[in-house]
Formats: sequence, C-alpha cells, structure tokens
Amino acid sequence: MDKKTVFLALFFLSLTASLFAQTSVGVEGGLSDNSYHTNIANRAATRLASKPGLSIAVPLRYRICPWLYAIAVPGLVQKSYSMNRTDSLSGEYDQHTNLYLQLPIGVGLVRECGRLRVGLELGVYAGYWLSGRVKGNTADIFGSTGANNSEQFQLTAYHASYSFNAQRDKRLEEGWWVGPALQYRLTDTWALTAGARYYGALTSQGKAPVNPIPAYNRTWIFSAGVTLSLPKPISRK
Amino acid sequence: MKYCSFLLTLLLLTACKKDLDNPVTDQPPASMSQAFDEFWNELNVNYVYWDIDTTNWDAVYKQYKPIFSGLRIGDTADLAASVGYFRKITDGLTDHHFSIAFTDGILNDSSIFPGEDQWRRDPDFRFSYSYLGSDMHYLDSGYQLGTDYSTGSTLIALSGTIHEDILFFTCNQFLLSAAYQSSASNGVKPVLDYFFARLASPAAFRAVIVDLRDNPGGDANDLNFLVGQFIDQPLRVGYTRNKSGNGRLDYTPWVGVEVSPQAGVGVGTVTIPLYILADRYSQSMAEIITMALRAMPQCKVVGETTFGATGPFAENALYDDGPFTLPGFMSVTTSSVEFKYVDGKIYEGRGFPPDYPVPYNAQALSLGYDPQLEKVLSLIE
Repeated sequence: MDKKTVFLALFFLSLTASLFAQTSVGVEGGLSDNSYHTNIANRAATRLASKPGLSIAVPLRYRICPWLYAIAVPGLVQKSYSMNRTDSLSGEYDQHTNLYLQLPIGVGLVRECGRLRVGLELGVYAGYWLSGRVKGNTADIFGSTGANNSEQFQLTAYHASYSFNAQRDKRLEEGWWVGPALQYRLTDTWALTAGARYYGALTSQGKAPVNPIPAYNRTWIFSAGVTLSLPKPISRK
Repeated sequence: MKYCSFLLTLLLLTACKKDLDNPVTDQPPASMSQAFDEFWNELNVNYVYWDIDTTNWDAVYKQYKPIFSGLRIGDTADLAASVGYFRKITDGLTDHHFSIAFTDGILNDSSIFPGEDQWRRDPDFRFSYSYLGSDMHYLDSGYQLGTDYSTGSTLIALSGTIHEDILFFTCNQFLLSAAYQSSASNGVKPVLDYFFARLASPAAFRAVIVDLRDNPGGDANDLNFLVGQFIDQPLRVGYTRNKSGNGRLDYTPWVGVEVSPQAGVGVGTVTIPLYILADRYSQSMAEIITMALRAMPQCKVVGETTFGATGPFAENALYDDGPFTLPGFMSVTTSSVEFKYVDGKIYEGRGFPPDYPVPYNAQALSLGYDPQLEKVLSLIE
C-alpha cells in the first residue's frame, strides 16, 4: 500500500467520522493505588506493599460513531509503593511517592441505556516521572540499645525529596491501560462520569545495567468527574 | 465482533511477559561460572560505595565472565587461579572494610583484603606498632591500666595524667560499652570510671589526649558511649545511608548521625583543648570516633591519615545490604552503610587527615621518644 492510498483511506475515514463526531472535555479526580512489580526474593524479611495516591485528569473524548470514541486523558497521578521490613525488623520501611505527568490515549466502546452510557476503554500511555518523595525508617547503626548487649536498633526517620540519577532512573514510562467507564447525562451538554482504569507499565522504572531486576508500576485509578459536550462541528455533508 | 477485537487486543497487551528472575541466589555455586555470577550480582546489590567507586563493575563482568567460564570448580589449580582473579577484580574497591574469606575446603587459607593490599603498596607502608608501652612511659605514676577478656578478645584500656594536668585515655580496640555494661567484673570498668570522673571535672586539666593509634575499631555503640561523655548537647558528626533496593545505585536519603550525651546531669560539654592521636592503623570505629571528636571546635588531630574504613557493617539482614556469603565458597565483609562526615566529604578509602601531620618514627620510639605525642604536648604548652 503506497502513501497515496493510505492518505485517501484516512481522508474518507475522517469524513465518515465527522458525521458522528462529538467532542467532549471534562475534568476528573480520584484515587490511585499503585503496586511496584519486581522481584525482591533476595531481601530478607521484606515485603512490597501497594500505596494509595491521588490523581487528576482532563479527559477529552471524540465520538467517531455511535459506539466508538477516541479518548485522551492527560493528567497527573501519584504512583506510590512501600518496601516494608517484617518480623523482628518491623518498623523499618522505605516508602516512595512518585508524581507522574501522564498522557493515556485510546478508544472506547460505548452502549447507551437511556441517560446512562456504559463503556469499555483501552489504549496506550506515556508518562513522565516529574518528582518523588521518599519517607521511611532505617536502623541507626550507632544506636543499639538492647539489654545485656543484645542488638535492638533504634530507628531513624527520613523524609526527603527523591534525587534523580540519570544512570539509574528511567523517567519516561510507557504502557497500556484498560478500564470501564460510566457516563450519566444530566443535560444535552453536561454529564457525570465515573470510571476505573488499570495502567500497566511496559518499561522498567530503573535503567539497566545498574538495575539488574526490572521494576514496573501497576496502577489502578478510580475517578469521578464531569464532562461537557462541545457543539458539533459543521457537517461537511 | 467488535468486543472480541477489543478483548483480543487486551490479551495481546497483557501477554507481554517480563523477565523478573532474581539473579541473587543463596545457593552453593555448582560451577566457577556460577560462583562468579553470584559474586558479581551479590556485590552489585550489597555494596554501598558504588556511587563513588571507580571500579567499572559492568566491564568487570564482560572481562571476567568468559575467564571464569573456563575454570572448573573441582580443580585445585583452577580454584587457586580464581583467588587471583577475585583479587584483581576487587583490587580497586573503595570500601576499606571489604574482604573475602574463602570457605571452600581447598581455599580455606586464602583471603583477600584490597584495602590492606593498597596500603602495602604505599611507599610509606610500615607494620603496626602498639603505643601502649610508650604511652605508659609518658604517664604520671598512679595511672589506671585494665584488661577485659569477657567479650572473647583482649580489650586493654589505659588512663592517667601527664604533667599532672593533662588527662589521657587510650584503648586497643572498641568494646568499651560492652565491657562497661558486662555483668562480669573486669579491669576495664575501673579505668573507664577513672577517666569519666575526671572528664566530668575538666577544669582541673589543661587538655585531654585520646590516643586512637593502632586501634582496629570494634563496636559501633562505642560512638555514643565514649564521645557522649564529652558533650551535654547532641553533636552532629555525619550522615549515613544504606541501600534501599536491588539496584546498584538505590539508596535511602542521607540521615543525620548525632551523638547523644552520656554524661550525668549537670555535667557540661568539655571545652578544654582536646587532642586525638591517630595513625594508619586507626581503623573503622577508631576513625569514626576520631572524626566525631574532631567535630568539637576545640579538638585537633595529630599523627597520620587514618586507614579509610569509615562505613560500619552489621548483619546483612539489618539493611539487606553489606556482608554476604556464597555458601560453601566465600564469605564477604563489606560496609552496611555509607558514612559521610559532617563536612560533607566521604573519607572512605582515603582516610581522615590529621590537622598536624607527624610521621611514624620507629627509631625515635625505640629510644622512648614519641614524636606524635611530643607534638601534642608542645601544642598544649
């Protein structure tokens, strides 16, 4: 297929799409729940735990036909996780709260039931790791206070900004996403939205070779918001 | 049909399987190639000085993996050759606590200590010298000398005065806190009581001298136990951080190290001049205590640059870093935390320099004259 054929195909597709096109813009906020998917089998008495965070986004929908729309959801999302020590080391932990600027794009299938629209959305996304904070407790190696010379270490707390290292940190994240979406039409132009999206990173947060084991963010975002339908473009018909 | 297409796409996306194998195992190596892999990966994860170390760890893998693949673990000559390769691989490591003790039956007598090897290549290399006899020669009569064997090794502490108005203390290693808190009576307790009682009334003295030469260090608790006797307010002496993940450069943030006052109520900070004697055999806790006392404004260090092993170590489980073993093959000692001094510099691998450098002088010492201690006495005068 040469370039001309591709161009013509896209041109006619866009003409067809514009017949049904309706653009909407919204705002939504919610909670995220991120887990850090890696292998820490070598670390004694250590458990990875998912942590909640916040998210905010501006979803843009472009209706291609009655059952299909394109969607982009630029926004900010916190992706947090914690590495917790267990057993006798309980109390030591290392919690990361990372902020990502994220652009998911994709398509949604929709079915209308009166004022309610039920959809399934999926696509791909790219994110940029904007900043991070690290909070935790670590043992004070100079502060063992056990009776009879036993080792019971005092804990020292830390809470600091994450310092990026170009050799270590892969700040660009790419992956896929999927999730159900609900829309309840209040008027012809306004609607309430709610949904859940699952984001699976396909790129590790750490660069090889200094990070021998990849580590991937797996994030659920539960959000609610409002959306405004913009006036239909003038038909080319 | 359209829903089926979506589900198929979703299935394809989730099928992108990631390799999350963990290369750090706890298995006895079955081949030299495996031994090398495990050593390389363990050090990759557990070593805390990668941020300042000049060893190119990735180049080490490329260069030595084929070599170790050609060695046989059951062959005595190959095992011996592997010690030489491990020595070359680790020769430039910054961590001066780093050492390898081979636990394989054939290699049981072999060990590697890069920090010591670096020191042996130094043009100024000399063997250690115990200053205890020399110190006693300088002390006024009535000094206190005590020993303790309860901790499994010989701890010697000595305290007294010089010219009646200079308070002096030394010990041959740091197990002071353990000896002092031991339920068994020992000779070190009275020495410490003698020293601490006089330190609590510093007005009676012109200066304090703490001799930490030829001291290999010891228990990390002695930082608070000893330095805490000199202060009545917390004293910031540096920062530590440990590894926080499996990456070579995964670290926690730096956390402050503050010495807690240990003296009794009403006892003030020691403000009279304080001098530390240090040399190339002041190692580990002896260096950290030298640096901690030097954080007091009236303290000066006299002698030589210390050994450069400033990162303390504990069991691997405490931080999930530091010392590790390859079962049945080798046991590796390495720092558990990275130590940065209060001035923002890391002295690991290069040692803490004295304010007043005075070289070791064997000939003078054989004649009963200690040039380093004499320098301190001249500074006090």
